[in-house]
Amino acid sequence: MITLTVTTVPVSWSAIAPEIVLLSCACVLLTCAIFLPARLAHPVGAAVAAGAFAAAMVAPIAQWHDAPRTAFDDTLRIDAFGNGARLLIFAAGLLAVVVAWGMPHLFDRAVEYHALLLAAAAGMSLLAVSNSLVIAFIALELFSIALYVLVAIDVDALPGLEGALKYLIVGSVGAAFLLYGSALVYGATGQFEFDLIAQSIRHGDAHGGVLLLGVAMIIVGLGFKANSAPFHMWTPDAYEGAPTPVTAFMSAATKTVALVLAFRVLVAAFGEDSAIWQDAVGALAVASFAVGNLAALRQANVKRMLAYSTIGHTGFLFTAVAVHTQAAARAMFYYLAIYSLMNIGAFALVAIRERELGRPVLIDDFRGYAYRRPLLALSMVVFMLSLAGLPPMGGFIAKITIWSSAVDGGQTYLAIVGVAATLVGLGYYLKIPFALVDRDVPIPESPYRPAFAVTSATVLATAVAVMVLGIIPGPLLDLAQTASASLIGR
Amino acid sequence: MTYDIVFVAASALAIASALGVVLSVNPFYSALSLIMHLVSLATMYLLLQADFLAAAQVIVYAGAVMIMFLFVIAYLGNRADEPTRDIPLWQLGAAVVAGAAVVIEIVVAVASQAFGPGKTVTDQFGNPSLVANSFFSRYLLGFEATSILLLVAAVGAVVLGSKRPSPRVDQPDDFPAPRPQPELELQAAVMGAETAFPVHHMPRKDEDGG
Repeated sequence: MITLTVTTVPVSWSAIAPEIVLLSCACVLLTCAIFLPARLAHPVGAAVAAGAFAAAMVAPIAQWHDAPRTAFDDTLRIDAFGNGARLLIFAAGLLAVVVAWGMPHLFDRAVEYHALLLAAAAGMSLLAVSNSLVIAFIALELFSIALYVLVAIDVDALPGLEGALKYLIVGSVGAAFLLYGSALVYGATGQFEFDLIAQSIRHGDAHGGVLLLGVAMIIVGLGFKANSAPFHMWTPDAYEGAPTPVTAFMSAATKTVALVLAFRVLVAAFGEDSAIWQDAVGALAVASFAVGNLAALRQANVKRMLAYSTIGHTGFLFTAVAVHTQAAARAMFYYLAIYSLMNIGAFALVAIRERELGRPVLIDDFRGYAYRRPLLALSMVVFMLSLAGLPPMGGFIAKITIWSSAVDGGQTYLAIVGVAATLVGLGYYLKIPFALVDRDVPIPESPYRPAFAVTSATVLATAVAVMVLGIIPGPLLDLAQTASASLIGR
Repeated sequence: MTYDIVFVAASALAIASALGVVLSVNPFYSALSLIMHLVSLATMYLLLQADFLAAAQVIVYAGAVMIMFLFVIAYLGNRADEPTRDIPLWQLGAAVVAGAAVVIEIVVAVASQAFGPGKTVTDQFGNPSLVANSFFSRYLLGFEATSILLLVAAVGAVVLGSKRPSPRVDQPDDFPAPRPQPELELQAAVMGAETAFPVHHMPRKDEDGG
């Protein structure tokens, strides 16, 4: 006689409300696509996706000031740290919808594009609040698979297919590292949940060698997703080959979620043993600084240059992870918000230029652009100065807060390498502002195109935001403070 | 005694078939070796009295998953390539060093009992009721998230595999971008596949834009 006793777990709907909203909208969209006439596919897809992203923001905002709580038997931890990351991801998704508006190459894949975007954001959102290695891995695969397809969504474009294939293979290797590392950590501690792992380590139940190897493999796996050198090989090809709105979304949201997971898992699970991973993360930061900035100097293609520049920015973000104080978490959050804004803005501008030219954009294609589209050119200057880290842009404050947290946290060498990397960065970021005001190029006729209106408005809005948040950083820093305090009480 | 004989036989078979997977030049033999490997693992589950796990292993992995593998191999063409043909020597060397490091790590970990004495399991280990319990209680969210993951993967496969659904909509201010026209052959080259079917080069009707 078999007795069936299933102990149910209390389902906390509010904990996964954003994921439910995003995924149900994605399913509705895919189902409705069957009945939609082709010319309505893009408008309906964009409207549903934008509505879903806006609706998904409600729960994180409403829960912002709540005390951290766990849900689903300790596998999720809903705190301001995760909710802040969720908000960044949804904002990036919203901007990706707007940037894609009017993209000619997406017209016949519009529904799939928006549905996969929603699914990717749902996976990222789940990852941002995951408190368990199991959930983290599943959520990571969920958003990765959606992104592999999004990179190749224009199935006629060879660069997209090439980029997606490289992303798939290298990304799978990274996921395999993460999985193997998680298994070893489970073997060493007998736990999947971050706080229980920390407890097991504190009680001395963990087994040193296996734990060390597990942590190392988890860091490697996260390094792949955060496009940190030396695990960055896929980044330039995937960023260059992907449709530009997808690149914008990937560069902002994937980075955010990878860094938030790295910070959370290393601090929450292995915070007591920070000596074993601090230097490794620091080394990855230095490698990213070097590879990203030096390789970006040699690029002629703007998307490729920005791809290498994101590798360089990983250096700053990993600096914050290596320092792992509360101030570092705050600095990382501010950096991620500014970084997402300026990167999406820059990629949106590249998308506009791509459509004007009908081919990939080179740095030389911006020559004399200031005399044709002064406002857009001005925005580009804002983005480049901010990426380079010059005042009064947001990127300046972001770098300063990272450096000051690094010096306070006893990792001065990372701040010094970061300053050197910033100086090298000027060498390629400033190429574009100088090209913009080049007078020696004949300026061709360029009638105003209403199709660019939405994307142009996005570019201007992000540029204004990057500048305003640089001049008045207080409110955003306060939000970042709340987020960081919810994870570390130091 | 019988237990030991079965265990040794199953382990030897598992190792031999695992070697067969990586050493076979023909991917079909690799797949068949993998089936052998999964079946010997299922035998070990049986020895651990986890009969449900053993059955699931055979049905899901040795059955369903492997059928899919064989379909993919058949679809992509049976390419008996030397897997290490085009790999530079330093990469081979690095792979051997990395592999050796993992083996040493495992030997050291096992020898020093780094995994601890191990946990004792109850009689019910691996029975359907316990599996169901872990699916629907502790790992409920992961279980559901996995189903979403599979759904997304299926949608992605359809997106990548399907033809263009309809002629693209002409917008008045859409630039008729002169995009490179990839042909099937080129796509196949990128995917590393050999097309077993004749490739016709046809200009796309929907490309001439507005």
